[in-house]
Amino acid sequence: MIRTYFQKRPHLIYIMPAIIILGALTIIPTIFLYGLSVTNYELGYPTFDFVGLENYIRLFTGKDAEFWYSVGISLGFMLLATVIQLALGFWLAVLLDREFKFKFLVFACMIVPLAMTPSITGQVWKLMMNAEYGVLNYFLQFFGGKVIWLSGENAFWSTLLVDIWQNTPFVALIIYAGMRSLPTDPYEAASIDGAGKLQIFRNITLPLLWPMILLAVIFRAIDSLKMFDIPYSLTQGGPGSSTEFLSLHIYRLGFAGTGWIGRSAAVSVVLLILTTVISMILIRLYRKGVENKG
Amino acid sequence: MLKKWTQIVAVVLLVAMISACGAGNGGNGTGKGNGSEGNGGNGGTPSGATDTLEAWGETIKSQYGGDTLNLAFASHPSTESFQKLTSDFEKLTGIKVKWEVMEETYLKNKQLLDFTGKTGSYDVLMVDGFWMSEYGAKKVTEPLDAYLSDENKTPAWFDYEDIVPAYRNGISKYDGSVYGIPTAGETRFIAYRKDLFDKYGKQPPTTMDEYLELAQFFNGKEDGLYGVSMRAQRGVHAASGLMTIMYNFGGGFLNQQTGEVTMTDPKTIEAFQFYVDLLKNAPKDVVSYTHEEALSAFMTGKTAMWLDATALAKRILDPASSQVYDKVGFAPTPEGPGGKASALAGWNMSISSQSKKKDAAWAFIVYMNSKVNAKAYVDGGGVPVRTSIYENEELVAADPSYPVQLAALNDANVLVEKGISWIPPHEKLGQILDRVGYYISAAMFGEMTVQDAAAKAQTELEDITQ
Amino acid sequence: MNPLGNKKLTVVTAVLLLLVSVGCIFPFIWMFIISLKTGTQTYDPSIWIFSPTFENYKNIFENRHALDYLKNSSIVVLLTTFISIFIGGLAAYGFARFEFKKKENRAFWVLSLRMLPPMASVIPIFVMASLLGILDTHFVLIICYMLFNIPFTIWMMRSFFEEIPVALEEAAFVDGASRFQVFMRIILPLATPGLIATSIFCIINSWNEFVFALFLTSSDASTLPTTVTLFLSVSGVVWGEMSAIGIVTILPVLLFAMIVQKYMIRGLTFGGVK
Repeated sequence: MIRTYFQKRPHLIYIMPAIIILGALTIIPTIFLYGLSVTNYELGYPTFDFVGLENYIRLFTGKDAEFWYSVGISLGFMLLATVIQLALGFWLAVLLDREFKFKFLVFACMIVPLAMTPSITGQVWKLMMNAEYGVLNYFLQFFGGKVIWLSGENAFWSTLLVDIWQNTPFVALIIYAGMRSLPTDPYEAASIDGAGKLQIFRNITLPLLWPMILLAVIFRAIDSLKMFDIPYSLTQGGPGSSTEFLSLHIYRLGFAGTGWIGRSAAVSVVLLILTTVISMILIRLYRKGVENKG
Repeated sequence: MLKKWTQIVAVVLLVAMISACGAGNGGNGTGKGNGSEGNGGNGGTPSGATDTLEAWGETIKSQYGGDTLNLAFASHPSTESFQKLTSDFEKLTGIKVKWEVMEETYLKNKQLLDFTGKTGSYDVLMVDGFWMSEYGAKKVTEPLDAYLSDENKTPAWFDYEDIVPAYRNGISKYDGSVYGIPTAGETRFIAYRKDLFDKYGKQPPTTMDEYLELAQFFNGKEDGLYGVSMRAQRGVHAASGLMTIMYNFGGGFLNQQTGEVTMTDPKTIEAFQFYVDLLKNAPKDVVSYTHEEALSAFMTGKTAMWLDATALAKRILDPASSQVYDKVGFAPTPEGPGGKASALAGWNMSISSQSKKKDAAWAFIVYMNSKVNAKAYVDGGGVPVRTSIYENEELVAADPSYPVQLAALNDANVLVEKGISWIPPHEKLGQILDRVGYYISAAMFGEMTVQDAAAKAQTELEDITQ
Repeated sequence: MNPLGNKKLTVVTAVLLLLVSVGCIFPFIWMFIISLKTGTQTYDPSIWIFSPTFENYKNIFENRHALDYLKNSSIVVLLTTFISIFIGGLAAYGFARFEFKKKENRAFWVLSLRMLPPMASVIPIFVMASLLGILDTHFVLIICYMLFNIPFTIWMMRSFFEEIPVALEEAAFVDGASRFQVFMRIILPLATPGLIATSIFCIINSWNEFVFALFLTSSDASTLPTTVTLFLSVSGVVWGEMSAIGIVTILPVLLFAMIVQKYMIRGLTFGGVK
């Protein structure tokens, strides 16, 4: 009976171990999370009440003064970070896509930002960005400039800068990999037809690279939406609420000595739904791209 | 799954009950200690002589030798000093100690998570005075009155009374009971650059108005020089920064008698406005400063004045960390329209209410905080809390900030006499500070005016404290 | 053969690449410099020439027990990567080679597990772990890191497997091999570069993970990234030691990445072999 079941569905043997482990690890926490989000549980108290949707109502009606702003800058950050990193990564991949001697050294340097521990690196960046004794302003002073990196106006952009530093190499590596694996035939055909450079890029390169680009976009979009380490070390969400991203808002409500676990869970659920919807759209595009390619 | 749950709940309840009974015994049984009681390793009264350190060590060893204590402590110079004393303690008592040290916000989360999960993995906790009310209300820590009054558990050489009264009353009690032994205390004072003050013929500030004037005077006076630096990062840092000066204006987050929220009280708003105005004379990124950046800005000579914790004075005076160590003077927190006042904060050692080795934990606390070891503790870099240390001539000679610290402590006592606790005694203080800290940061950054910020903070605080 | 290429390295490109490299590596260099500086020098960026102190390194090994953390990190990361790659690889193969109902939905569900912010899942996982009595063990971290390593492996490896021509397998089937044998003997070896590329990212992610490590372990199984909280002291940040441990943390990963760099690039360019 079991034997025939598996024989009919041969894929199960392969995907089941992963599904079971992931399921056990996520279904319970997720249910727990949804459960918590309809309570007024505070960390450390023995009892709590079910409050229905009160936590959500609080968020959506503006009683939580920072929530909508938080959603706004999180989405804005995701968009900016993804687009900029994609553009820079693409440009970097094009730069790399040629033969030269010390290529391995350039790659070695590009791996460094990826490999540096975010929790420690965030602190080092904060030291580097200090307006008075930071090394960035020390360099700028030779050009007569001085930037207040972590002021209210600039904190968001500084966070973006660090994120770009850390993740552009990842995007570049993936796109570079894609470029190296492009088939040659379409290009030969195109050059026989006498197509221009731009045409070749738009009609051949871009569609062929599309899956790789989307894969990079998926990973970057999801990760930048829930980015935590960098703004946590740099600004803790401040000044004011200028870097209070959703992930930081979750931290602030639940873990910054505040302990509103119920409210924090409600924000987590919102973030979860947000990421799910966004990545669902991206993944649709991705599969389409792969099918078109194949 | 359900079965496992019930089992665990049952075990936890049982353990809780046993230890509750045990503690009760210990408290009541002030008797001479009949050794047979201690066989559970839990709740028994230590027997045998405890009048000298060595005799006490023998007694403890016979009862709890071989136990292992788990500690959750903050990254703090005092913790490092305690760690240096650990091997002596282990030798003397045969109790093993396992340290876990981390940054304070994570520490609090971890202690509370451990408490919520009923894992009971920690025995001794290091607790910020700011958390005391919350921990007391949630019963995270054990009340210590019974331990203190039992002379078998607390030998005379511990000398509780020697700890500065302001600390004993100000940072370690909740609802009249003692929940922690102060280990590191701090008040706040001004450090100023003597060389600059001499150069321009200025005197250190004695009132808040002078303080602001001086900050404005020095700001930009020399190339790259700012008036003042203080902590002001969004959240608890900004709230605590405001508290540094708030009481001198007679303001407060709450009316401590009635429990009403007083954010929109004119005095609080005046203090709030002062804090925002003052920090216009600070380095431009002061809105992201914690105590670390505030201190570094002063130590690198970027600011003429600094107002923060006395516990940090050691670093200012240390040539290995400070560029201005030989050009610094100290002055108490200036007097404001509301009179004198000064901060009163610090850290405690407490016993986790879920610990299964409460008596061994208490032995650790007694040893580490006793008067006998106080000198070794301070020599190891610990932050003093004892009157005898503040009056120790040798130590005073080595650290010129001691007299000013004592003066500041007297100012702090002014508040105590007014019946006000510098740390507002509210079990939701963590939430209050975080919200106030947000609105301060918002006002400083210019998102809203001070009046608006105060009004909004008032609404949120009322919502929290209702 | 590279269709876009045949491009040469012009001076402009060389300079640009040099700038990018320096930009990427600078925070690392700065961290290294700080780890050799004394307290006062840390706050003065204009000091470039100084006699380096090795006190910070001495301290982290003697007083901060860096070796213990290093050992814990290594155990956790090696095991979790190995298991994740195996289980994830299996699943990726399943997704790549079989057609079944709701395949895309399941594949998406797998990826969506990446989306749970760690701060949100740490409380339920803590409670579960304490009920099972596995708090503060290597085991609990190994399991938790599989939570983000397996989905990543599935999504990376799936495209690698899809690139391998089905004809190769069919030839083996004709010879009478079972599908699992084919997977182990033909597919996995062919996909080695891809496996290495994937495992580097798994290693990096688990090596640097902070939130789970901090909350789920205490004294027996803490990993290197949690040490940062040791240095964020009430009396200020201990920059020198923190940077020293930062360097100690990154070096093994960096060395490993350098050694397998060839495979990594080849792995990422896997499609190119066909």
